Amino acid sequence: MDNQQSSSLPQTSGKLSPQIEEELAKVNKEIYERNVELAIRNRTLSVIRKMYEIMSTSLSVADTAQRLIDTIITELKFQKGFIALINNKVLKTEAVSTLQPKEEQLIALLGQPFRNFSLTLDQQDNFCVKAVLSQQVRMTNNLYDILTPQVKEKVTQQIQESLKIKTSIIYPIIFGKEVLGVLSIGMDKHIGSLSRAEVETLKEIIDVVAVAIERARIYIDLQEANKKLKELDVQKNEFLSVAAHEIRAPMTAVKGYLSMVMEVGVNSFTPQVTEFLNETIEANDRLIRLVNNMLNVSRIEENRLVYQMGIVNLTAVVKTVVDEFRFEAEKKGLEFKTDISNIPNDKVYVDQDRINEVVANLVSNAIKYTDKGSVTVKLYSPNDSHIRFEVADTGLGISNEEKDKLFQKFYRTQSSIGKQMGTGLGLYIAKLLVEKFGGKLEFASEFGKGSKFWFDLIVKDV
Amino acid sequence: MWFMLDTNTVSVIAKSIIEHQQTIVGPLALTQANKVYGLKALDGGEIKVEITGDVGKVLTELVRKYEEIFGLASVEVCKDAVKEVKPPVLSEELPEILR
Amino acid sequence: MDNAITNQTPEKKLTILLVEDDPLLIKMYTTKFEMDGYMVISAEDGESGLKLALENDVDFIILDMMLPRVSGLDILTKLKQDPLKKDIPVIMLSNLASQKDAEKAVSLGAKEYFVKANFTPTEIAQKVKQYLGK
Repeated sequence: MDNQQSSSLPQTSGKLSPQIEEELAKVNKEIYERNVELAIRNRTLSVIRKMYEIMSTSLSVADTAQRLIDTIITELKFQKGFIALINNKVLKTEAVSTLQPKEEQLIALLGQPFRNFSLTLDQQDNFCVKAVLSQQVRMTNNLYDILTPQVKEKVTQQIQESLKIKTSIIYPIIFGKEVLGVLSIGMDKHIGSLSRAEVETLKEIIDVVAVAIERARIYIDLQEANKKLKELDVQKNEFLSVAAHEIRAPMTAVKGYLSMVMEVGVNSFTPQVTEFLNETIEANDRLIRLVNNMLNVSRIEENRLVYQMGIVNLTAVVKTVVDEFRFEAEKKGLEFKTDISNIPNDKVYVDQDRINEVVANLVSNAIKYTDKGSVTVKLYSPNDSHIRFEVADTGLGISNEEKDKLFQKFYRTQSSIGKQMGTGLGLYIAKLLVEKFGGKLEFASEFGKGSKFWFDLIVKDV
Repeated sequence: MWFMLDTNTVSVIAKSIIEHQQTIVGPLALTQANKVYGLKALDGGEIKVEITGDVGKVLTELVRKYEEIFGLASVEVCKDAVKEVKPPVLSEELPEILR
Repeated sequence: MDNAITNQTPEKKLTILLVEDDPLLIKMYTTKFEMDGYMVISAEDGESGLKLALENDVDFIILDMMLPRVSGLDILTKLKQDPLKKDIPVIMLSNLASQKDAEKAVSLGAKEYFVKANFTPTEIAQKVKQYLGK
């Protein structure tokens, strides 16, 4: 036999000195050792890669678990494996590795011990339960430790023999702090007979299993939650529609009778009674607007609202609104400024009633939330292609926390004014409508100083 | 030395060893293997091994051939290769160098 | 604002047919129209309404868009098909502001289309007077 110390590489006719040859031999060995590490790593990575592929293409927990266990058993050439997961404190089989048909038949005859596996976590004799509770790996040469108490000892002996299982390892599947279940593997040899590659692969894959299972679970939870949310939304819209509808008849009746009361008794009422009646009529009209708003929201969202689009002079619309609200502003002692003349082109393609609604909403808000100072309404051309409607006030302003929520459905500002007056739908609808007409509703505000709301619309050449 | 392993099993073991060495040193694995008297290894996509003569001796020689160049680490690789053979081989049945 | 009895000769009161499925609103409009000196006959569904129109001498018809079992527009169509009744002015009342419905109603022969919640009975009565007038 050759001397183990010297290299057996082809002699180079004595050109190399023995020292260099020795060095070369050492380098050889080092490179070899490193390559061994790499080869082992490679094998582990190849299995892990397959598992990641499963993770990214499986959708259900069952599907994921099945593919995982089949891959693990196949790649590592083990005899049998199963994954059991915990649901409501019961450990139940999620997937069993697929066997050869003959083996499957046998297992079926023996009552499908792996598939029908179901344990509560107080059955602490069972190694799977032990693994879960201690969060540590368990090993056994006796399959009975895994199947007790569901399967009789004699039967497990039969199974163990026919499947040629010598040792079983049970890994707890842990994600973060939670134990999701167990991964059990049956081998035809003992632990000491595992190659280094096998040991390393086993060590690595258990973490990947945990991630894969958790991901599948989360996906299902998300789907469920999403479905529920969608159902709720539909229900809510239906409810809004129905409610608004039912309310309308009595509301119309109230409006009608109030007007007839005024008609019949206007000459016989005291000024006080007349005032009370006027307030009632106004409140009722507001109620009607509210219900209309609620109904509109559901119709806009479901795209059932029919728009009457046409070329509209925005100036005229703004003027109407301004006239409507001037009195209210002055009643509060606010300076009501307008700058809406001198616009070369104010024609926009919108639904006139709807844009009126939007403008009215913005002006009304400005007045509502301002106790002193001024409300300024402006109409101007920020550039050649657009016209801008702008309302600025010196009121409460909007805090940073509220800025993000402002356009949300049903959001009312924290101030008491908001609570008293708003439905939380005004800005939401305004935003939807402006966007429908091709514009964007924007705002700028400083808490305590005031706010400015504006939107731009494309002007039309007629 | 008394070996209970039949030629077939030994071929399987030798195949596993050569394949494992292949993943580490590439074509050199085959070259070294074929230097062993009584062993013929062919690479036709999959490794085919023919063993003649004293199977125990041939196996031992195969391991030594790798050890010559690559040292003890390669013996460990051979042992791992044996561990992965199916069905599992009993330690008692292996030549000393592979136990 | 118009109050008191108007535009009728003492001999014959003008008759308004009101087809509306909500009894609360029938009562309200009936009260108003009777206050104004009209005679009012009413029905809560389309078939009965049609029957009343055919069997009675009616001068004006107020028709709700949404009726049980049949739509107001269908009744409108049937009315306009009857040679004896097609010239009676009809206005449609609705719960919803639907531009499409409004256009359809007018194209089928209605004079106008109103959203109930946006008009007082007085305003409706004025429209009636307008369409019955000179």
